Amino acid sequence: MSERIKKAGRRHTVEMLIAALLYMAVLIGSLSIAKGIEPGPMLALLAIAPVLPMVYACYAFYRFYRQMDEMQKRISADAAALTLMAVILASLTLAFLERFGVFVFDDALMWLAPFMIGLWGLIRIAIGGRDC
Amino acid sequence: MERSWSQADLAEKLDVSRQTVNSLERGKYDPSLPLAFKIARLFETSIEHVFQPKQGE
Repeated sequence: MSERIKKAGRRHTVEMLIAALLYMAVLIGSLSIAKGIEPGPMLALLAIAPVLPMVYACYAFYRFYRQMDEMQKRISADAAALTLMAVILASLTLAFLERFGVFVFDDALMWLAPFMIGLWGLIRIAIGGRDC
Repeated sequence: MERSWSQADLAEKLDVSRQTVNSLERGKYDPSLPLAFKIARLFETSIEHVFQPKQGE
């Protein structure tokens, strides 16, 4: 692997680790502070605070994506297209099940991001291999 | 066109991953035109000498 791509990969790993740690810290902090706060702007700020580390993660990932070589980019984009299709089908299925009163999947939106990230990663490995 | 380069050496020279070099060698990945030119230039030959279309293309 070219030294430039290796370096970008290492940097990406470190940045994702930082984002994950920040996310956990902000989430735990927000949940504990929010306990005694009435609904309002302050509670809204606390509620969306855990999204900020994810903004950083998205920025770091996009920079990493830009530094991939052309085949890695192709595999990542193909995996993203397949993930999008799977998410469309999964969300429609869940929406209809809920609409028809079959069952209600509580906090479905909370699971959307982890589902997408996990599925994208698995598809990427399936079509491109672990080292891609 | 023989060189004593490993896949890692070639990856470094082409600024791609080793897996990309491996896929190119096995014919699993068709490179973009700029990468194909880069490969041809590296081996001091023409693109046609490095890449041939598959049957029926």
